[in-house]
Amino acid sequence: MTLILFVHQDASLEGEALQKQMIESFGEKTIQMVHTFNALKHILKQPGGCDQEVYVLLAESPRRLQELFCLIDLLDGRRIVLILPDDAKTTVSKAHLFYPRFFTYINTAYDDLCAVLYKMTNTKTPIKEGKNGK
Amino acid sequence: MTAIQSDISHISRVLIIDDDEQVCDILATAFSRMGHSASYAVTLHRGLEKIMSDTIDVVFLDVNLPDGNGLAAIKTIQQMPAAPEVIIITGNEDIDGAELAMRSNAWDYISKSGSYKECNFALDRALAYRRQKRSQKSAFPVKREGIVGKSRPVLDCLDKVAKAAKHHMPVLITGETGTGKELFSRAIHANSSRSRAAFVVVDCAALPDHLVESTLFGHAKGAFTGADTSQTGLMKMADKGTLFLDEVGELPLSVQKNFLRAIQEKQFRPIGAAHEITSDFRLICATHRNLPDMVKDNSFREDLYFRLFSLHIHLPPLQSRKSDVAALVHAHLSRKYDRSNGKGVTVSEDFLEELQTYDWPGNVRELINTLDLVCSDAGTGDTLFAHHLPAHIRAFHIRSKFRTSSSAAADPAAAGTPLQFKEYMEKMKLAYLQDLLSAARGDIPECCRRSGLSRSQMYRLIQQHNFKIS
Repeated sequence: MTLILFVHQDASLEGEALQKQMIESFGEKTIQMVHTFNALKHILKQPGGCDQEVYVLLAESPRRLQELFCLIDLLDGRRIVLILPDDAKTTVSKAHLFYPRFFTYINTAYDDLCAVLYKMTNTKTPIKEGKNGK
Repeated sequence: MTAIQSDISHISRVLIIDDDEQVCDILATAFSRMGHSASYAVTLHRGLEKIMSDTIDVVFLDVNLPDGNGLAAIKTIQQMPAAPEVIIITGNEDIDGAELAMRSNAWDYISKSGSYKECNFALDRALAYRRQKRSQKSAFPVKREGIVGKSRPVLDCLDKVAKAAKHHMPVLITGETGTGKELFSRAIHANSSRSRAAFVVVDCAALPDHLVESTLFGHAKGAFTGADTSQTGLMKMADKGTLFLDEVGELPLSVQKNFLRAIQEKQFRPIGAAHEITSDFRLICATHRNLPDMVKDNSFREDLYFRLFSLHIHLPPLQSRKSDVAALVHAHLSRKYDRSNGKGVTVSEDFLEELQTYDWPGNVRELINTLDLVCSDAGTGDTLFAHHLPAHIRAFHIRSKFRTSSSAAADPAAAGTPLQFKEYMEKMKLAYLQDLLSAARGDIPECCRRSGLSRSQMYRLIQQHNFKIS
């Protein structure tokens, strides 16, 4: 199982924490880093088992989300996890059009994101504390 | 004139399949007098041919036929393009047979010892039902949303999509992995009055147990450690739209009770919140698991299961709708080359034939992945040949071809001149090679280890039989 992590080259500041935590949690070997739309398009056009890849896409701004939206046709049928810039209604409505398996918001601790990705990639993980206060 | 009589006033085609020619004759005459076009066949084989060639509306089908059992043929008949209604007629009534007929969705089960009026009455009703079904279909054309195929099982599922789209009751979609459960869910949403609102996906298989409740219901600020801000749950986000629970069988038992209440009352309380909130969502659930079995072993709540089961769509595996393979191939390739603005490819007949023979355990998803792989391997060529296909698909094809020819050879009626010994040995060698490659998944060292052949002998065999190892 490969994690394809899209952090646009112009989003290095916002993407740094995410990138760091992903590498710490999954190791560099499992993650394929992508920094440009051309590179992302190239990967999406490659043959490969859709069920063998999870696309983790960082949209650090509404504009980036809109740019990602232009690739929606190529992303159809892929397992997508989104990191959204905010929880505004318009942002979330657009996010649902990607049919994401999960989404979270930028500048969070990303613990939930990693827990979901652990499960999606069948990676062994230490047992987390109950989120419901249990 | 009553509504039913006016409904059946135009000519309908009726077929009687019975080995008793006298019965056929009496029924055909009676139906012709009623103004229908009636014909008959005295064997199942001939009957099936007639259904294929003529557009038959209703079939009167005997149980014990010289070349097969009528009850076992109901499903086959219903899956034919015309999908006629089936009425069973039998000289030997039995309760199990009657039950099987009803379970197979036959229209009626009639004894030949009864009055022929019973047949007339059943025919009237079946035709009226058929017309009503047709008029409903044409009144509501379904947006397919990427669903490809014209086979009877797919058309039946699309009928159910249309029905589901008109109502607001929960829908349960079942089917093997890769059959397109999410695609059909999206089609229900797209055809419904909620299509302008969100289609919200909850992937129950991807969510760790500790996240399910807060993801679904949302939470208030400070509800638990780390809840620095309040968060809207997916159920609220689906307000006025559709909530799609993928792999609902994975929903933790601890959450099922609250979830059941939320879908019944459309009202729930986010974690740590003081008040309940409402959300008017339509629920669609999908699973590849057997929920009744899960209910039996107490891993799924029975009350929730019955709540989800209001409308059920079971998606057929690709194996049972192989007539759609060609359409799926063409649709995927044209979409693929449209996306890349590239030069299109054509497919050879042998390529399609081998794809149609394969059993596709991974269903449509496996077919799509295979096509992508093949296109990549084929490089710049503009035609895809069977030779481009992976070894296991080629092996499967040749094995089934060999099996067909062996069974034909075993059939005295079909047997021609026995094969020459050399020819027979070649076929055996070929079948052995198929088995070997399939068992070793195309791994040559493994083939050598299993067969005891040297690497050069192995390659010679592969070359002789024109195999491609990927």
